[in-house]
Amino acid sequence: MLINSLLLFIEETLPIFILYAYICAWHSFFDSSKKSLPLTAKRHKPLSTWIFTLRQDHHFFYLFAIILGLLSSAILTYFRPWLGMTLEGIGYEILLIVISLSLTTGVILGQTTNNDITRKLLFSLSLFLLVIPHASDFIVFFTSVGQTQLRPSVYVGVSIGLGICVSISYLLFFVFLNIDKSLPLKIAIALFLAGQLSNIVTILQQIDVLSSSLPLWNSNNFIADRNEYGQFFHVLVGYDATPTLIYLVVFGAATIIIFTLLMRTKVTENKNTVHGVIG
Amino acid sequence: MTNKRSYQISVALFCAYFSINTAIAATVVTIDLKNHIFEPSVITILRNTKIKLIIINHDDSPEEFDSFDLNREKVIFANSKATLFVGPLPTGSYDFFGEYHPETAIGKVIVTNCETRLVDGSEEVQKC
Repeated sequence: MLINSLLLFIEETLPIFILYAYICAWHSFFDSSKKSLPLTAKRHKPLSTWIFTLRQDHHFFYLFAIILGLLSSAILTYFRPWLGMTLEGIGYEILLIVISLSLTTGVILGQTTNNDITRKLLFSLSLFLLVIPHASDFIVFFTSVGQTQLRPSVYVGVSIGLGICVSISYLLFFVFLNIDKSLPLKIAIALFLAGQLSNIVTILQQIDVLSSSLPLWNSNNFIADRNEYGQFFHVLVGYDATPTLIYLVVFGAATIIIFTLLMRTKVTENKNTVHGVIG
Repeated sequence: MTNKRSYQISVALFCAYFSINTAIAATVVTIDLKNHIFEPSVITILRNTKIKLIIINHDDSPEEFDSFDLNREKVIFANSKATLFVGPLPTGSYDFFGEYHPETAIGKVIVTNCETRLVDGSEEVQKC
């Protein structure tokens, strides 16, 4: 149960932590409301200073969005049995598709705007939308386990999972923080969003709207979908051990389109800002 | 004109693709979930067959049907049912499990070249 709850927690929360890291890193590059300091200043700041000076207003936006998402997920969980029976049993899948499309659009629009408030609102909306289905899944799991016996191993699994997710999130944030160019971040965000969009393919195949085809290869021996690495790379770069042709086509097309949108849009890069961690 | 023609051909192909997909009839397979155990736990189907999997949860707690091999996951709430489509698949064995009770709720889909049929209610006959 420990490994199971750990994997489930990572599967459900890692996308949220990664998106949080990416949008914070995005603020560090493109937020013109930050104080400008010479680039050399950041080189001499100790790590502890970086971590404990994350006090910008956008964190309040995002934390509020996450809390609102958690509350909304409780409401969604209450209505999920009914939702699952509507539209001939595909009501929840339709909702997931709408959420995926909306959150991707929200992130892209947020990245292509120069208005700070609009950006924060769009990113908050995206986080809110991402939290709802994932938190709902975890609430259902917790309810199910709680009806039998709430084992301590579940708490341990959740604690370890939380530690892993926070570590990965911080690590990604500081990696992009210390790269002076915004190009790697744009590529990472394009891959992440394309991965989120490509999940729609699986949902459509599950409800028989899209035809399931044979996988092009099987790399489960290399990185299995079921282990931590598989889940990590699935969230990060849309990794699938047994991808179908349509999955690859959608993933590739989405990556190129999103990346092109991010590159073509003229967003004012705040090159003199010490990457947005000035309180 | 060329662009318009290309567009029309693309739309026609797109429609044809979905028409063919929906035209393929799916074999219906029902799985019952009782006391966190799938019944039947082993399903044998023919190669390249699409199946409509109906999972009925008779328990008082929700369960998530999950399969990395089949690339499917779906929550089935207490005393309700869920439907999902699987396949067409190449021959092989595909594991599935209940994510909330993985110790007991386990099963597999076996895809073969041969079809097994019951004759006179008892005798099994394989047609390959």
